[in-house]
Amino acid sequence: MQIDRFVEKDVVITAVRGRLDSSTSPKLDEFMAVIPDGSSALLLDFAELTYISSAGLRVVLKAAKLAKGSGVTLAICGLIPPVHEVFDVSGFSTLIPIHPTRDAALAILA
Amino acid sequence: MPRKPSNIVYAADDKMPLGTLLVLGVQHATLALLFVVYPLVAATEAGLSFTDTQILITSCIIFMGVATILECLPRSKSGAGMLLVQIPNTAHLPLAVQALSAGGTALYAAMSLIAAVSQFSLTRFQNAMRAMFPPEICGVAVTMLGVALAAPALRRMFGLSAHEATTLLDLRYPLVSFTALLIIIVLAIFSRGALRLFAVAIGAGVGWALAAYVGVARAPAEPGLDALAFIDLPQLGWPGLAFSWAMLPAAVLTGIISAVDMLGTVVSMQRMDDADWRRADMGQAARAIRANTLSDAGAAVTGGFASASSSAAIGVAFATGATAWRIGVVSGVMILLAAFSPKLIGALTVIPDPVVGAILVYSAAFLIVAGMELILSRRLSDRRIFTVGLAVMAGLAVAILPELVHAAPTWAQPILESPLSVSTAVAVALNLFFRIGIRQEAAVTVTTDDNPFTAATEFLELQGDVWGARRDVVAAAIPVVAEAVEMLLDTGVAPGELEMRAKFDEMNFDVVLAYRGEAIEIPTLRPSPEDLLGDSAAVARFVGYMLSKRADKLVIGKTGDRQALTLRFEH
Repeated sequence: MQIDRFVEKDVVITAVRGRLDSSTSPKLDEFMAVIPDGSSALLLDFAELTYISSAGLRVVLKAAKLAKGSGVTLAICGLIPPVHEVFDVSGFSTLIPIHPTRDAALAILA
Repeated sequence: MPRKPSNIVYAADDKMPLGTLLVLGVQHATLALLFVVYPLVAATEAGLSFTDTQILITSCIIFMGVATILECLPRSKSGAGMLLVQIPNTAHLPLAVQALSAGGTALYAAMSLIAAVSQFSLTRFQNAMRAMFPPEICGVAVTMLGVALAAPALRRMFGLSAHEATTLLDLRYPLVSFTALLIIIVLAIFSRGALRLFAVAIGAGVGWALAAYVGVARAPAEPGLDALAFIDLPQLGWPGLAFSWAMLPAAVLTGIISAVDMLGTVVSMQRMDDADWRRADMGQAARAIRANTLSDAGAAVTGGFASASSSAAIGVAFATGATAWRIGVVSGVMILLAAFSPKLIGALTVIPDPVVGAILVYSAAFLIVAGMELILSRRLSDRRIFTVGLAVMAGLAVAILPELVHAAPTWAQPILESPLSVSTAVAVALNLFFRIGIRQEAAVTVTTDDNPFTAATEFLELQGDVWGARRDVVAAAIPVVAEAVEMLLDTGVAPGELEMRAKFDEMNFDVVLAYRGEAIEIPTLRPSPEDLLGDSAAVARFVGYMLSKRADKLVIGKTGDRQALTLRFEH
């Protein structure tokens, strides 16, 4: 798994590439544990995420709770259909805003 | 009801305006009648009298029409209920020439009946047909239907004779042929509405006009079109029956080749008509073969040449985006009516060769790719790769090295002449041979040291290859199985290790996770996502709910003294 983080229009974007399961999710957990100062929103770009397990969902849920507690919006973008299905079945798509693309997410968050 | 593919305008059960229906029916009937040249060739080669030739062709046309109607009418016990248009059966050509030459019309009638019975007998073994013809073997048959069309198509396209060496290419033939082909392709791909529906008719019409202009349109054979009546009662005859032991193997094999040919066309149509096609409907194929058997028997006892469903018509259906059974019924009626008009049949036999070549090239190109699609719809193990590859090579060998065929014993030559029959026979034989040593169940142990996703991927892809499972089913199963394995091992529900067992029976792809420990609970209502942050039992319950929604079926049970979590994926 590879994680890239950058800021665009005050939105902290975390792009995850590869698989997010029990062996890789601790790394994302570390990234998401701290919300950088001055950020207006957090965006998880999952366009290149090919698989997510319940361990990955747990990290996303923790990040969403942390963001909410800090008054920052957390959103997700770019889900491929198999990963989108996991978010739908688990009910996460009703908890966290999901945007089709990064541009679409930035248009709303920035 | 199958989901209509986006490129199909009128699917199997769709209705259409009467005018459109009639023109599409005429288009198919005209193309089908062009092939009366086959019985004509057989009659000429065997030196049949004028009267016997007339009966051979007229009876053939009548039963082509009858079979087309039977094939297309829905909800019939005999007939596929899909757009299948009959043409004279090329597989019968060697049998007809040999039988007519050796024993006249009585011997051909008897041998035709035997071929019909041999064809019919295959329909009694649908389960065996399923095992013998998995999708990749059907794919080989469909591809080779296209390859078998290549030689007659390209000869007509370039104006080449099978019997005479050509020193200089007459460029007028490819000019006419490429023009007709270009028009058909452009209209089929870029146009909508009527232009697309009548793409083949328009292409053929322009090609015929161009052929007449450049001087490659054939003149009608003597006694000439003028001497033929517009309307006349068709002549049928009872040729009697004669028997020859020497011809028996060829007759039996001709029946089997005809059945395989029918299977290839039926599967091609099934696939074209269903966006979610998964596997060959052998029941429908058997009904199609039954209808063909009936009409072949009718043709045999009335002195006619046998027919079979047309692969060229499949190309026309694809070009026009119209696969409705009603088109076939109209086409069948038109073919029947044509039997009452000797002048019409005479006129059709002079459609220029390069125009027919263009239609055949289009159909061959479609069938070759349709077959490849069928082959690649399944995961291919090394065994399957060689089954397909060697079968195609065997068919190509007899197609491009005719001297190989000529070196074979005389009785075997009619079979070996057909790339379709050679390829399919080799594919079926290799498929059965390579089944040796393949179990329908396999298992692997996964421990906490393994990555669940990698373990699931490697095991399920390997087994998918070995069993020839559908790619999309295996791809869908992997993340669900990986999720289940990860949950069972990470939460400690399965302490230390579990057994991942896969089973395959063509209808289902089952994965059983067997472990020592407690059974997990599967809630019917979705638990709160907060459960993911709870204890092991809460996580297991949440994942259990997700698994029950993502697999086609989830069963909690026991295998011996172990818990068994079974994930079923419909195949």
